[in-house]
Amino acid sequence: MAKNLVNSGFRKLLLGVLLLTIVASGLVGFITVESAKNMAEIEKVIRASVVAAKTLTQLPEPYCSDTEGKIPEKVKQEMFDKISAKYNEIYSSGSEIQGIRLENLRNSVVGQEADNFRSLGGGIKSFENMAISLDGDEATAEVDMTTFARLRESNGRIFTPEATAHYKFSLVKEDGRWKISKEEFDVLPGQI
Amino acid sequence: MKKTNIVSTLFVLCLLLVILGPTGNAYAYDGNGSASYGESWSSNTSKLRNSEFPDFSNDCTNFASQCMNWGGKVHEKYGSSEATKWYCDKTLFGFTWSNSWSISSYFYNFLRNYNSAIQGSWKAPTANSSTLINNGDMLFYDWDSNGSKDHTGICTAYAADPNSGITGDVQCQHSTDRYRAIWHLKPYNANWSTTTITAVRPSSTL
Repeated sequence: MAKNLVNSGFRKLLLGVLLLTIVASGLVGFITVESAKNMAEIEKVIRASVVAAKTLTQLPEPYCSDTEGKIPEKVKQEMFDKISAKYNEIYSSGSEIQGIRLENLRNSVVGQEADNFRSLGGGIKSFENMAISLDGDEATAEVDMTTFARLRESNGRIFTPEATAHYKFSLVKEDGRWKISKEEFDVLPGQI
Repeated sequence: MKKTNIVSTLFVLCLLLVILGPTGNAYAYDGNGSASYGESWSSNTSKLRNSEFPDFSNDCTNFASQCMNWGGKVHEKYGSSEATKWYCDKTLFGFTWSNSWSISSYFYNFLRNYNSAIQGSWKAPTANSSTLINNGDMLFYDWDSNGSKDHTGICTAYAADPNSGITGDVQCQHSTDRYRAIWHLKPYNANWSTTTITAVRPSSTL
């Protein structure tokens, strides 16, 4: 009889622990799902920012192929509008980095006509060691990336430079979307 | 009478020394001299290093400092801060150097602290030459345009870049050793569209 009581008490304790574990796992699981969603969105924005700097400079055909040709003002304006629209999606509104990147890319478009070269795009070759730290509507992220660009230079030769760099981002959530508020990278020595 | 003559002669000599002698900063930066050193100690095919100086894996600013030193700039060893010191010493026990000798952003701050003029600053530069830069000017590369200088090169000539075949202002650099690379480095730089280059001419009153 006494033995049964002990067994019954032990079973209850075991069940209690089991229940607590399940509830705790559920809670942890819930947080992880939300975090995972945020992290996936953050990775998407980061990839978009790097790819944008390589591809938004590429003119449409036939201007992309002809290094000597004039680029109509209308085409340049369309490029500027496209760059502005994309950078409004990627970068925090009014942030310093947004202003810097807009100036960078506008110069990259104008320079192609003035200096007789053409951007042929580019992209990400490897994306590794991503680490994201979430803090409410703010986040920081670090990642190692190898990126490349393609260019047709004024002498007609095509170059495809590559560089591996360690990237650091600060992000903020604006209207439910993650946007970059700060972006820096250190190119590994001997890459350029 | 004789004594008076000697005193008078000495007085005149002292006066001449004060008038014609060194006036504190007798240094004059020789940009062509710096550029010549840069071309002598850089190569596209081998690693050229002057054993009178240290050799770093990230050697760009150490190399640019050597060029400036060759161009006449004497070491500033006793400055009160990193922005006022610039030196590299070879001792029996090895080398000692200031951060400004070997790190791009410190070197930039040192030059600016001594009134070295910015000749130009270009976001995503693409022109193969610029009337604003001369031989011996220091070129500071900021790959992500965040304001911190990441790399240093020295403008050495107007010539053809032997690797890209582009003719324009060319530079020499270490880290990735390059001899007469086109100054904007666009054919070698995957981040060309986010790069800012600042050209600084070392001041003659450094």
